[in-house]
Amino acid sequence: MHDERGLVERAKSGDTQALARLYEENFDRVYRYIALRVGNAADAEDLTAKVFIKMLESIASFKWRGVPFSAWLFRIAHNLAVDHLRQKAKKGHLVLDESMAVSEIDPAAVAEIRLSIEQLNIALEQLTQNQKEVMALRFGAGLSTAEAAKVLGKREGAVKALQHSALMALRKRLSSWRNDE
Amino acid sequence: MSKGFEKILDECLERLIQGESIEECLARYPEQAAELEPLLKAALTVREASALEPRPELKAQIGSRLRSVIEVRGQRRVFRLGWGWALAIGMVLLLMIASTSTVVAASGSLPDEPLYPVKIAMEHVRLWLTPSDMGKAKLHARFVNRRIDEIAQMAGKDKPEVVARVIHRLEGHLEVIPRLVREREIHALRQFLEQNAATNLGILHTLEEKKPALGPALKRAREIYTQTLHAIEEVEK
Repeated sequence: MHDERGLVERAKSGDTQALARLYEENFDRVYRYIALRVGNAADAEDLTAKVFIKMLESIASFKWRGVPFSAWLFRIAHNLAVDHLRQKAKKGHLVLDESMAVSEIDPAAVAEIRLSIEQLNIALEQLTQNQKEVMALRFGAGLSTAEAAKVLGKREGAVKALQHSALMALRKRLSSWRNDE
Repeated sequence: MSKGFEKILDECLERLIQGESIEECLARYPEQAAELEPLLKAALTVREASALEPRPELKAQIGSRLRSVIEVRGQRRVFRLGWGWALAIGMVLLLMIASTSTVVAASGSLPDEPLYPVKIAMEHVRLWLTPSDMGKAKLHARFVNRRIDEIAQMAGKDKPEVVARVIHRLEGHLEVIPRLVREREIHALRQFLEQNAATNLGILHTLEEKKPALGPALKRAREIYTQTLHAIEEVEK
């Protein structure tokens, strides 16, 4: 993001063009992060809207304390997703909605990608909440390890370790499926 | 596992996210390749499956909700201690009681003039005082014409920032119209919009060619205009 600081300062002072640009630049990745966390398209849509409304309500109080804007924004998304998951926990298992579209679909690869979504859904269930969080921030939101660490309030080293252990667990799960085929 | 390996894995993942291939990552670290490869493949699977795309219309829908929130917040601010806006609202109310020359003058003001906030406040008041959705839609359609005139005049004065603000207002009017209209009542509104569409779109198109710096914003405004017309047609069908 070019001149993020200037853009955020303008947005803080109520510049609607700057707010619109922050929205445009972050919309897709916030949606992907939330979708991976909650596993349901309808809930992901509602929560994505809430993230940006919260951004609008709170941006005036945002302060630069060595935390990039994206980390602050994903902290909002993280908190909303955690609240949502807590509320849903009583209702049981969460499943990635198969109606979710996959971007840039290669028609020849549709079957494989759909399988990957199903695999991902089941495989993610094997991870701890922290591991899932790191996967969603890294691969859904596309955040760097440093940014993910800021969102989670953890050290970068801890995030790297979580990332490593999550991928080990996922690899194990995916290879067991391959062996079953 | 060593911290060194986690660092290498992270670097490779970063490169993978940026579009580098697994083979390229492995070539950088041949000693760790055997250990890295299955993890990077798992990461790639996760990344591919994570490429979820929201419904195409979702971004516009949420964007529209945000604009409404901004608008409502702006109106609330008027009733707090925003002196300029409070003055504007006060003047509008005065107009409604007895037509003052200031407010009448404001009705013809341009976005770079001091009385323009009064004009916008008047528009808000007119919308608030219009009870039916269809009535509001018609008002928004009239305000579309006003915004187009203002865009043309501001573009003529080479004021791109002002033009951008007016385009934003124009988009707000256009996006709200289809949400306000009902099937049975739509014909007259559609006629009104279509009567003006050719002229308004022509103005935007001409400006787009004459003012390349404003091109993307003007093009977007034209697209939203066309989408609004299509949306109205769909409702009528």
